Parts: sequence; structure tokens; C-alpha cells
Amino acid sequence: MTGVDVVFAETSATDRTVEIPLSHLSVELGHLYMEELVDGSVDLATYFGRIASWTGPDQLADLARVPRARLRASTCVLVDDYAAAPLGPDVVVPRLIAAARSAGLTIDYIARESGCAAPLGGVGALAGLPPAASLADLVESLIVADPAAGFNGSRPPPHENGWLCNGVRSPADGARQAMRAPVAWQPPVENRAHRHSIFLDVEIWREQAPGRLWSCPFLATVWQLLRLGQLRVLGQPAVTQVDIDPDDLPTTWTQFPTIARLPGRAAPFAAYRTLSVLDGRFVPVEHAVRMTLGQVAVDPTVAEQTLRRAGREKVPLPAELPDRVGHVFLGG
Amino acid sequence: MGAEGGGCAEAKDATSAGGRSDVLVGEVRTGLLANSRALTEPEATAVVALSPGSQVRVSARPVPHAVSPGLTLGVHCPVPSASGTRRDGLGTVLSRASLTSGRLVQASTHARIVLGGRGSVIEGRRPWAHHLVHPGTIEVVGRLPADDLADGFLLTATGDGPGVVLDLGAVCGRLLDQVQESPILDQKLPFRARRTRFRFVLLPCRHTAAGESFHHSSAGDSDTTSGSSRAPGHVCRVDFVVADETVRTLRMHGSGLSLVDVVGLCEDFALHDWLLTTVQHVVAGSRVRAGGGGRLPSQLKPVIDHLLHVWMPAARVGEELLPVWVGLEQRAGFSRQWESLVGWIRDQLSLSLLAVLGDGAR
Amino acid sequence: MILFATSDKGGTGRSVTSCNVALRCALQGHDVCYLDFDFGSPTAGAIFHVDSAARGITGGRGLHSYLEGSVSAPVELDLWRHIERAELRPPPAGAARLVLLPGDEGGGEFPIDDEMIDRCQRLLRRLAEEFELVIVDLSAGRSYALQLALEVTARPALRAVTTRWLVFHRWTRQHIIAAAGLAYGDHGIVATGVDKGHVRDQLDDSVRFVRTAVPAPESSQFAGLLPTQAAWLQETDAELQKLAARRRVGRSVLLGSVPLDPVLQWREQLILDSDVRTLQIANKETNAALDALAEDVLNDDSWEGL
Repeated sequence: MTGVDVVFAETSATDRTVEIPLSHLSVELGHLYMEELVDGSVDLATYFGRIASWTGPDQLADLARVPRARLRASTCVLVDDYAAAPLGPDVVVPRLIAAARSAGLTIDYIARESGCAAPLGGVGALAGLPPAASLADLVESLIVADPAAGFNGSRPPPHENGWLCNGVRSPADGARQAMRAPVAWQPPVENRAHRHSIFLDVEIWREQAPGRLWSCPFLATVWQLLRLGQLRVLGQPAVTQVDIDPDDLPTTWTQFPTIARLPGRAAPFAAYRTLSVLDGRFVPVEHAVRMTLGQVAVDPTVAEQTLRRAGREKVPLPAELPDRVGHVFLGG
Repeated sequence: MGAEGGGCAEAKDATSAGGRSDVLVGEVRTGLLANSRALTEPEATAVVALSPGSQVRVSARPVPHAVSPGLTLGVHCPVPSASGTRRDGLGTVLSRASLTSGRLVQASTHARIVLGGRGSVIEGRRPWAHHLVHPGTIEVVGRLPADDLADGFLLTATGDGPGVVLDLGAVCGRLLDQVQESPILDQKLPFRARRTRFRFVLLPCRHTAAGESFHHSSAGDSDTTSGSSRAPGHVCRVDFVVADETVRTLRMHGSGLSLVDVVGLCEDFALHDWLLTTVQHVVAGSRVRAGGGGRLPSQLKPVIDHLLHVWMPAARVGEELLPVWVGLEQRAGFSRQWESLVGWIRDQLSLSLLAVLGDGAR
Repeated sequence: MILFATSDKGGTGRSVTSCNVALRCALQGHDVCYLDFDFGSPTAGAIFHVDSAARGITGGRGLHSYLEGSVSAPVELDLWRHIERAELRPPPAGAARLVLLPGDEGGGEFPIDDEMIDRCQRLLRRLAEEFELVIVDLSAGRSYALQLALEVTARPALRAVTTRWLVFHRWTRQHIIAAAGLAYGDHGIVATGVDKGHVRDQLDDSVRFVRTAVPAPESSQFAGLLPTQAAWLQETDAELQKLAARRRVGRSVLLGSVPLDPVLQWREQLILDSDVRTLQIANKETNAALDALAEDVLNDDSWEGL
């Protein structure tokens, strides 16, 4: 022994995971279907007015669990352009901004739902993803399904064929061998049900040429994970925000960034917690989002970084992702 | 996704406090990569890029090594118990695959099993998201002595039988199969080699008071050598058993150790044990069928081409676990045996060269 | 190499010949493993003199259980520890591994599903990694086992592994026609294989035939024949050769012939040198034919494309 401590390290052997800036709270100012924007069935000014009454600074500081003076909150809207987009950003974006402003609200970020299903491009190819892989593909690969009682690893996890549930499905009434008695119906069971089951089975995707058609609740889960700042590709942020000029907007959504930052002094897009103020009709979607989030295992390095940072900032933060997601559902 | 995939050195130690104790259980399977030649670094990286978007860790020294990101699998089943006590565990196991020298393939699966102490609350109702916060942890409801669990895990005949108990071996075997099925591999192996299974447990030290000693016993015999390193982490006792031709078990008692490092030690250990086992097998076969007239037995060539240079003991073993390697070296004589085998192979090579020269002279 | 052994009909001596080939290859120093895919009647254990697995293995750990998914790995019997023949204890020096994967006792034929194909493919690929020769003994005829074999070998993970097909048939008119049908006929090996994604020419090239229970007129068995009888035998043999050639199962695709031997027929067990020399119950021609077959199975020249 020489008595000299020799440390040898190769930089490529340790991975680097980038931290991204975080607000305390990401506030989603409602969600509208594209048809409602087209046919004008929703009075946007009234709509934002109702949201504004739930998103005052005191309320937000309370939800973020920080003093009002320290609060960093950003606002966002997700445009529903995945299924069909008869109106382009040049029409939709100014309308949203104006209506929000009339209610005293500022929109900091506008994102498009199709961005969650669009190819990641260069960074995805580097990560060994197939060329067409999207954020949705990435998140699907992070799902660690809640195991049913008795699952001991001896068999591969069951093929889900694009569905995810929170328990054990009712046994399928499949073909029986001859001379065997038919099986009596058995109810599905929620894993760790509290006395009674609330069984939920969510469609994640469906095969539809030319590729997968992702479900709305699953894209909404991707959206929540982006807002929570938990997605990385090879340690780099999966999406970066792009500044846009509201006076010079493209006519189609494919030319629009996945997440666009509007001019102004916006707090960071991603946040420790999220709040979504939505119509009550979105309860089923958001129930599915919470269930799916509860079965997503993000990069532990990212999870650790976020918790450590919250600790340094003295922001109370639950470790479980579904607990970081808040909702306000408005009645009719 | 895996804790060991991250840069954060989370040092969850196996401790026993407040009646709770943690036991690390794991299995490593080692085999020859199903390819005709050693893979290049980019090829090796592609083969173990098993989780899209996550990084493969690559190092070039002292031998090329590529490690996949951690893969998480949820389980909800009874944990092993030698006494047959049925205690349900819920949580996740972590697996990873690695390639060494572009030639050897390993899969390893492990879980930290948290045994509830007296008066442990019923944790069965915790939401699944809770179990995803610390991947690779299984929480057990109810009392189960750590030794009962360890014995149950290590002594199970093969672990592949029909059963309901946690089956790490199956998870590990599937991962190895998955890597070997990679379309990048040509499936043309230069020679045949058996896979080995290396099962390990890490238990808390029995005597945490001063004066602990470092034990190592091999296949039943047991001896004591001093040389445990000081805090932060230290190892009190190691038992290594060659259970049969392909199964080895390692039982370690330690405290304050980084579990990530312990898994790394076991992988390194399993790798060298495989090298020794495989080369020994080939040498034994060629001794019986030694070619006449000093000809080099044909079985030796692939060993010389593919395996001899891979021997790099303790290359990736951390400081605090180095004494384990040293102890095993002394007792099981890993390196001595290896050198003797390599010496024999070199002798055969020299003899065959002499024979060729002799032929030429004539 | 993965070698699938199949036959047109039952009673060809397919299993007993395959077991004997497996033994000989292992004795020559090649690691061999033998899978009993004769799901309807898993009796490879009996042929190998393994009493504990004579009709398959108990405890639900055999190939049936594995393919159905109830165990994560099927049991692998090290035959050197299980063969109950004194001559093979201890195993001869230089013998390589010889492993049997038995079926389940009481197991039967079962329909195939996708997960079963996955499991079968994983198992065969792993065994091909560890063994030089993997012999899969399939049920006779167009069975689920044959369908499964054709299905898994078309999978990408197994496409790179050398797979070959041996069709066993008796040396009779009916058997020649049936064997040709099994290989090249409707729903035969080649037609079904191409359907599953095999390349026709490659699959075609990987099929060989083994004639069993072939009367050898020159052997001592027939020493007492009348000249007319001998002539008739010669004539019949020549006719069968012609028929075989017409049906594309002629000499060019012939891997070996095993003579008619009562020991093979009746005892259906391993033939060891001692059976020929000391006991003198088996014919030395049989022994030589099995040796030759074992050699040809592992010799790439015998599988060269036509």
C-alpha cells in the first residue's frame, strides 16, 4: 500500500441528469374541446371568469404550500388538436389570450396535445428509440403495473394490449374445453381496495393505421408528467419551451411548438405541483390520469433531485406523483 | 428505471433498528454472449439499451463494460422462508443486464426486503405509487426473522418450481434471454458454455459491538481472518458456497454498505466464478482428449481468443467491499486456480508451437 | 444446432433412434440435450433407462407445465446421474453433457397459444446457447408439437440458430409415401413452415430422412434365405429405392438407415457396446448404423444444400 488514495473514474460510466427550473405550482386554466372553439358554444370570457375565481394568488399559494410572497406559479392551457384541428394557432391562440385577459388571467404557456404523440426527433434516436417514438411511447415504457396479488415474477407480466387497470379483471368467458362446467361470473377486484372495489380499466392506446392512437387520458398523463418536470430523454429534458410571438403565429399546429412560451415574465413551466381547473365532465379522464400516474416509475435520479430541491426550498412535497396533482372541478 | 442507474449514490444500508430489518436478496446469471465475436462498444450499448430514453452506462477500463438502465417489476407475493412461514410482500424488484468485454452477458435481479418488526402497521393499503418511489424495495407485512428469509432464499433447490413464492431467478433468467435474443446478435457462439446462477443475500451484522471479525467459509469449511475495514460500511462475515455445478450462493453480513455496491460486487464475483468454471470445464475436457504429438486441443482456441483477457478481479468493487474479495481470494483461491489453468493452457500452446517447429525442421 | 425428429406414423423407432443418437454424440464429447415433445406419450425417460421419469416426470415440472406457463423453467435431468445402466456409471471419460427435458407424467396434447410459442422459443434459444446439439423429439404426424416447432423456428430470435429436420420412416411403400407427404405434401413441414414465415429453399434444404427397420439382405439375419427369397428382397428393395427417388425422399436427402433389429423394436432402449459384444443381443450392424447416424447428424457436409 502506498498510502495514497487513488480515485479513478470514467465520465461515461456515470450518467448525467439535467435539473430543470421549477415553479411551485403549474396552473392549468381549463380545457376545451376543439369543436367547442369551432362552434362557439362556449362563451370564453365567462368560462375564464369562473376559473379566475378559483385561481387567486392566496388560493394558489395555499395549494402550493408556500407563503404568497414567495409563490412562483405559471399558467398553461393545453389545446386539443390531436384528433382534429380545423382551426390553426393563428386563430385559437389570440382568442384564448384575449378571453383570459378579459377575466384578469394571464396565460404563460400554450401547449398542443398532439405534441405528446409526435416523434421526439433527434434526441429520441440517440436514446435508442424507434424513429417515430413519441413522448407517449416514452411514458408507456415507464409504466410499472400494479401487480395483482399472487404475482411473483415467475411469468412475464400479462400483455395488456393497450389497457391499464387498478386491479384484477373479471375472468374472461373464454372457450372452455368440452365437458367442463361453465365458470360462474366473478367480479373484478381493485388492488388494495378499501372494503369495496372501485375498479378502473383505462384504454391507453388502440392500434389504428398508420400507428397507435393514444387515448385522451393517457396523453393527459403525459401532460401532467411534463408539468411535473419528470420526463427526461438520456438525462436531458424531454421537451423544451419555445418562445413565440403572438403577432406572428403559424396556421397549422404542426408548425407550433409542443410547449410555447408567450411573451412576459412567466415563472418556469414545470412545477413541484399542478392544479387543473376543469369542467366536471373531465372527472373520469382525470380519475384515469391519477390511476395511470400512480403506475409510472420516473427516473429515480429525477425523482430524487426534485425531492432534494423541494427540501432545500422548504416546500412540502409528497413523494408519490398522484399526490402532487390537484384538481378543481366546476359544476355546470 | 433503477436506483443504481442514477448518479445519486443512495446508500440504503441493511440495518436492524426498532425490530425492523432489511435483507438484500438477489441473483446473478452469467453466460456467454450469443455472438461469434466480441461486440464493439456501440453494439454493446445498443444491446443493453433496454429502457427507451434511459442511459446505458459504459466504461472502457480495465475491461469494456456496459450496463443497462435498471428495470422495475412489481410483485405481490409471499417472500421466501425456510420455515415455511407465509408472509406477503408488496413492492418492486430491480434488474439490470450488463456486457463485459463485449463477450460475457449477465443479468442481475435484486430486491431489498423490508421486514416489519413487532407492531408494524398494516402497510398493505399503501397506494402503488408509494412502492414506485423506492424501486427495488419489497415491504413485508408481519414478522419474519431475517435468517428465515435468507435461508429460504438461498436454500430453495432451484427456485424454478411451481410455487407462489417470490421468484427472482425467473425474472433474472427472462432478462438474460431477452438480451441474448437481441437482433444485433448473430447467435453463432464460438463454443458452448453453461450459464451459472449466483444467489446472494446481505444480512445485518449479528454483533454490532466492536470486535467483529471477518469470516469466510467455502463449501462448508470455515476459517477466520482479520481484516474488516472500518466505518462507514463494513462486512462482518461472508459465506460462499459452491452448491452444485452451476449454482453458487453468497451470504454476507454487513452494515452501512451501499446496496448498489454490494450488487456490483456480486456481479463481479459471479463473472469471475463463471470464467473459472467455464475454463476449468474446457481444460478438463481437453485433458481427456489431448491431441497427440503436441497438437493444441481444438477446444482451447476459443478460450484463448475470448476469455483469458477478461479476468480482472475486483475491477469494479468499491473500497469498503475490497476485503470481501481479498478474503475470498485467500480461501477459495480464485486467482491461484485461474493462474494454474492459464499456465496449463500456455504450456499446451508452447508444446504445440514446438511440435510445429519440429515438423518444420524435419 | 436444433434437430427436430419427426415421423410420418407411429412405430418408426423415431424416439429410440434419436435417444441413441443423443447418447453417442455425448459420448463423442458434444454437449447434447434431448427434449421430449411427444406430448401425447412422454416416454423418453424409459428409453434412457431413467426409472423416475419413465412416463414423464411427476411434480408438475416437466415440459407440459413449462409450456403451459405453470413453472418458469422445466426440469433438466443430468442423464449421467439418472441413467440406470451400470456400464454408464461412472460416465465414460470424455463424455460431454447429456441432459433430458422430460414431459409431465399424465401430460397430453394441447392446443397452442401465443404465450406458449414465446415460452417455447425462449427455451429452445437458451438450450441452443448451452448445447451443441438440441434434439427435439416430436409426436408422429401433423401434430401440435410439429406446428409449434415450425412456428417458433420462424421467429427472429431462432432464425439465426441452425435448425434441421429429420423425418423417420420405415422402409415400406406406405411409409415412403407418408414420409414424403409429411415433408412436402399439403400441410406438410415445408408448406406449413413457409406459411409461418420460413424461407422455402432453406427449409427444404434442412429436411433429411432416416430409414428405419430396413432389412439388410447381406446380414447374418438373412443368411439362410433361399435364392428366390434373396432375389425377391433385392427386387423389392430396388422398387422402393425408385419410389423414394420419385417422391423426393431418395439417397440425396438420406441421412442414414437403421437396420431391422429386434432389440430396437422390442426393447426400445439404449444400445450400448456391451449389448453387442457381451450380451450379443443387438446386431453390430445396428450399432454401426447408429454410430454413423450420430456422426452424420453433427457433420455439416451431410446437410449441405442440394
